[in-house]
Amino acid sequence: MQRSEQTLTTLTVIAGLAVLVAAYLALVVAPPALGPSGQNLGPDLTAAQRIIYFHVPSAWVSMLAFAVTMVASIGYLRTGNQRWDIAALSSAEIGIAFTIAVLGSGSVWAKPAWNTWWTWDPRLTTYTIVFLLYVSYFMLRGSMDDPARRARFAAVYGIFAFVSVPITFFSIRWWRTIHPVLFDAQNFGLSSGMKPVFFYCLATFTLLYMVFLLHRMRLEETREEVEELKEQLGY
Amino acid sequence: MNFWHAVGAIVWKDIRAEARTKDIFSSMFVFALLSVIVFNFAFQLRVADMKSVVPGMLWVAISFAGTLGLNRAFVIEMDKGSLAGLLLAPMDRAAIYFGKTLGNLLFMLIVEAVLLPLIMIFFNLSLFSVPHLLVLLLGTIGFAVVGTIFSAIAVNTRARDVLLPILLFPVLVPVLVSGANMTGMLLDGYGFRDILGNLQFVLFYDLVFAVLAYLTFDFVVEE
Amino acid sequence: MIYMVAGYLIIWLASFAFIISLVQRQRQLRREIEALREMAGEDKVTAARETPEYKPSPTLR
Repeated sequence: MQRSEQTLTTLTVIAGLAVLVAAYLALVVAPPALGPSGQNLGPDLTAAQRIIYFHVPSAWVSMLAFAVTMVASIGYLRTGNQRWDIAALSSAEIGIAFTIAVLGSGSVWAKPAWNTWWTWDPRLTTYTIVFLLYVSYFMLRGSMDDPARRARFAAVYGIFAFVSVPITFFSIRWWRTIHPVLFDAQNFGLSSGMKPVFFYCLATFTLLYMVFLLHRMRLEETREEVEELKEQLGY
Repeated sequence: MNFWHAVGAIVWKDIRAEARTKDIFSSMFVFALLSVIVFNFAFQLRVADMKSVVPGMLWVAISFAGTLGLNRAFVIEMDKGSLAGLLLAPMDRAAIYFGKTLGNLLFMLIVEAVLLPLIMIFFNLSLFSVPHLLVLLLGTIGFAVVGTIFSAIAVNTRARDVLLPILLFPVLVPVLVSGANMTGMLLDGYGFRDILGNLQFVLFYDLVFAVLAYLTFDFVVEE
Repeated sequence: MIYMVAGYLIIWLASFAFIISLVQRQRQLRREIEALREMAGEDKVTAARETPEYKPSPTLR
């Protein structure tokens, strides 16, 4: 028990430091972005563009988290081992936290970049639906008391939910080619100076996700133990 | 018991039960009709061309009616205890799933068959072409495929009826979006070739989720 | 400029909200364990902890 506690603490500290370094790199070290034809973007947009270093990695982490939930759901259905269910729900929770972060930061970036807080382009729309899917996941979990059934049903839903994501994306994109979008998602192509910072942030956030996951899983396992104790002691 | 016999038996049982009371069917139909009328009032004053609203309206009405039908079908099974009976019968669990899905599909198609002419009359539009019927068929299949297994899940929770739409609609988005899109395109005068890609996409959706439901249905109904 | 600050702030806040919720739940669990210990007496708790873990009914395919 001691060893894994130590490992977790070390990892947490490393992750924390890595994030601080990432913030420094993103805000100070990374070169300012230029427009598609190399022009200056203006102070507001140049600064806001730096959101990309945290915004995109957060989006990546949220999708990774939901993918892990699907894999863990399959694992649970095949083995019946409770650890898979704990992994599934922990990962989903982290996924939702990061999804909120992405939706919020994206909105705030959109205002200076496209002059609107929101647009219904395929990516954003799909992402909103992803958010709804996992809120539904937790509503399902919340409305069931029997732990074994809850885990099973949640697992089935977790699989359906993630499978539907790419399909949803394509269906909306199809629709959008008929009804053209007013704002094209401007892709600030990453110049060579920006790439290392970007990939560092990507790696940092992935590490952060893993640390969050381990902590959350540990919390859930403790909670399960306490529940068992309560049962056995007759409370 | 032969798989397809079992499926047929379940569908026939549901049809006979429904034919007696016509409970579910009538509430589905009335609900769909009411939705259309309410939408009509909601948009009448603001939208210049009602035709642009019809696709969305149609598919929303189908969704609401479908959800109602799905809910009630499984609730009745649970309350009467017939689900336990089905599970004891010597048949593949998957047969229960397919039987139920086909039954739900049938009810929804019947509702749509009555709803469609009414919409055509209200809005003076033609929606009866073969391509559009195909669109409705494939879309409704998607609805039934996912809706049946989700309603089996929802009926076992505390929240029951309320939970089904919450679970169902985010997953159903591709069907609704594609369906409304294709209805709109056909109304605008596009041809079968133009919607073919989208149609195949819905078919793909139907297949993927039918397979997924087949694989996971056991876990939903076991004790 | 302010947009950038807001953007980063939102991400930080979401992360911290998550962390804080974890910490709070952990504290609550600790409190529960302490309460259980007091109510049941030390040896009962140790005995209960050492019984084999309960596993849910396995579903194999």
